Amino acid sequence: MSNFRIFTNNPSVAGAYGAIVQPIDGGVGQVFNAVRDAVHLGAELISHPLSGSLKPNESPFKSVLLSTTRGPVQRASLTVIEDAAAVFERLPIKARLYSTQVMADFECVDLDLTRQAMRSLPAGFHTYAETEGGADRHDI
Amino acid sequence: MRLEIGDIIIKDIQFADTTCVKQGVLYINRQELAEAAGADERIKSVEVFLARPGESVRILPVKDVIEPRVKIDGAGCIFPGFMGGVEQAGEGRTHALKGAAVVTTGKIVGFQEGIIDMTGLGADYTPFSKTQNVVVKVEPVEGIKQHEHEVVVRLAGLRAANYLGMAGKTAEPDAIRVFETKPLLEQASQFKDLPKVLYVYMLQTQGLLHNTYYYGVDVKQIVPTFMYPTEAMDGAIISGNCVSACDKNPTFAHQNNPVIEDLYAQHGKQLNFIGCIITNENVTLADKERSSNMTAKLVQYLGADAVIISEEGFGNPDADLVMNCNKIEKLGIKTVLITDEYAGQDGGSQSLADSTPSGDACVSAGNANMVITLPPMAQVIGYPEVANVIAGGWEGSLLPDGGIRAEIQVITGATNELGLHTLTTKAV
Repeated sequence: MSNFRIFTNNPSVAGAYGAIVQPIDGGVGQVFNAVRDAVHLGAELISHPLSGSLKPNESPFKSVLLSTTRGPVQRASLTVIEDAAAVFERLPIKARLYSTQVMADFECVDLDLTRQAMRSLPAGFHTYAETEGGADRHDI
Repeated sequence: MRLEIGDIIIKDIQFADTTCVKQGVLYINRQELAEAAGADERIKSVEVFLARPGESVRILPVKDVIEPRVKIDGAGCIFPGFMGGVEQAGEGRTHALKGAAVVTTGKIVGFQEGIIDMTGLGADYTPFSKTQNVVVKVEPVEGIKQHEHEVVVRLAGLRAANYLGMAGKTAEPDAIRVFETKPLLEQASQFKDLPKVLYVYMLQTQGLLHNTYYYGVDVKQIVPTFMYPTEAMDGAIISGNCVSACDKNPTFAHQNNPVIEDLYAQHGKQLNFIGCIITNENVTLADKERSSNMTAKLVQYLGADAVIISEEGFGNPDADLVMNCNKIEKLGIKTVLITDEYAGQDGGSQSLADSTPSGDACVSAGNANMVITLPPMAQVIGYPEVANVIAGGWEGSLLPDGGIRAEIQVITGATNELGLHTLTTKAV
């Protein structure tokens, strides 16, 4: 049982970290909404929701690490996710119909950002080994 | 630490039998250069092209831009940690082929942007339309995955720049510039009546295509550390990132960092430039807290009166920028921030993802969302097919005539946050 979860709409992240993934059906906006809801219930943000230089209106995929804590709202986490959601809302959607390979590339970059967060988890969060071969959905 | 840079001004580039510099012309043996760049079993082929200012050429997608330099005197080599050992760089004498650049192109991911137009409207938005560009197109062997592909193209560019830099070994420089920062106590007493200024140099370090290296070390794995400014001039900092190309620092920008050069220009006149702190921009909030705490601690320990902070990127790094600013200002030390903006296509929206009242002295490098129409070019070097899927474009960005309508974030260096760019403001 882990004390954090990855909110993601990225199938490669789900493949690599299945047991601790909170799968989100939808786009980046839906991921941000789900993260915001969790933060309102007391979860703490572990990774920055605007990770990566691909803007949230460009990449179809987003993964955010959150604690499973429940309780008082963590103000700092709330500010960060609210600001990230505001960035998403003000930028026009640029994501479009991409080829399978381009989609795989977007998944790959988001998975790598997630891996970097997993490698520098703060003390207190349980480490979690990546499912072997789990990320090989697209031969990444 | 004292470094002499011998500038060898390059006014033209030509293919020839022997690679050398004569009367301002860089002659290049095309085959030798391709072999030097391609010396990696993971590379299938290397093609070399020339792109000169004013030519109807588009380079796309640009991976990195590198200035050819060579070590004449002093320890080690250019690009320590990659092209040789890890000797301390930044001392002695270095020759630079000023006006020339190696530009690498390689399609690591399908949506990759990074455009350099050598003429037309787009050329006005990148400093690399004014350099004599030696374009190195790298094709890896089959089956290479994205991570390894990035490494392969990055190293090929460094080898190409290293090979060309050797041509500067025997050439007589047109000018010599001298830069020196002494050990702290000595430096502090040299200009004791001038304010001591530190430069907090933020480096992009989030992951694949978002990485930066210092003496070969992935900077996301360091805690902030002190760097003599001249180390950057010897290629101690290498770029591994090119996503959202407008505000990423190609290796060329680290070698020629205008913040460092301008601080040196005022060194001993208006201020006392005591050095740099390099820090990272990681993805976890705990890393951000740790790195900004360490940065503020170092700033205070080194006795700075004022600090310039440059950011690399937008969004996640805005949080690092704000933390660095808040924590340093809280110590009573003044900061000036350098960033760029994503203020929407009309420029009317909130510019950054985070902000602070302490950031009351801030320099903007421009609005990356500004829309531009790039005219078609007679020749496209690289991978023209990516034009329709670049991340900074949208459905229909690639125009029927071969032009591109997109935000200036797709142009390499358009809103460079070190100030190595062409945008400016005018009083009206």
